[in-house]
Amino acid sequence: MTTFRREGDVTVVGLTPEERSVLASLAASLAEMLAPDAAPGGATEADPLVALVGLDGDSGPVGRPDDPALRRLLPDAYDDAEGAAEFRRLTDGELRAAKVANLRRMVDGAAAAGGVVRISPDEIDGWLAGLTDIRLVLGERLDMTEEREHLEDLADDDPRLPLLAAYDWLSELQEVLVHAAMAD
Amino acid sequence: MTIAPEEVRHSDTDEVIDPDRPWITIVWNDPVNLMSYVTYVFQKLFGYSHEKATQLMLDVHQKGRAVVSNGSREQMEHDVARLHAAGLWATLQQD
Repeated sequence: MTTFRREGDVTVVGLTPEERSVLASLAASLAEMLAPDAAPGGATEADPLVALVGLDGDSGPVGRPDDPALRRLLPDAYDDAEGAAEFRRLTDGELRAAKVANLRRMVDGAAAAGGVVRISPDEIDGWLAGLTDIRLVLGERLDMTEEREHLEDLADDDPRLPLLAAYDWLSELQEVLVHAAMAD
Repeated sequence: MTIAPEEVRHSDTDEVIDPDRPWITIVWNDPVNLMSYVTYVFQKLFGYSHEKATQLMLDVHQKGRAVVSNGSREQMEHDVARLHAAGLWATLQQD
């Protein structure tokens, strides 16, 4: 069970060992997916949750991503293909780098001593953006719609169960952080 | 980040058209983003009041899209890039 408290303008999030592990693997694997030139491998490769998400690499930068989840994270800015390609050519690297930096800070956060993550006001937007990106990927893999399925509607052996549980938990975490950010 | 060519569209008439504001940024609905977060992003990026940001968020949610800013092409490209960095789905086009 995640706990939240405020210490001045710092938001303090207490994560269980399992939550730390889920957050770290999802953030690390998405960072790897967004930075295709990063060294392959790493401890997350054999993670069953990550295997379910299917974060197993994609085409290189600048090209329009084949993976619909990556296309959602790095969308076309223009309707017309030429304008979209030119915008992507000039902005893709910076956008990927910003997203990767957010995710890596979250990996570090998840490793904080005792699972106690302290998020300052100038860090909170990066957390919100990183949580959004992870949830967008999970939402894509789950074929999320406005009339979403709920955990209790899924059979015990439904393969989507761990992803939906992670999605719901990250949504709750983000909701709390949004309200903390609005209060700052 | 400037990729747009210099816009030269001077009008020699008295039309009430601001040549510097012919582009718009559109945010599209998606089933994942939290309503609270979308509102927060509009406030943070554009300096909108909570009330205006909430109305724009509801427009996105209920109508599928909303025009969230307008200005020069360069400004709209900047806005779209910031929205993408925040995880929102945004495009720009000429109004």
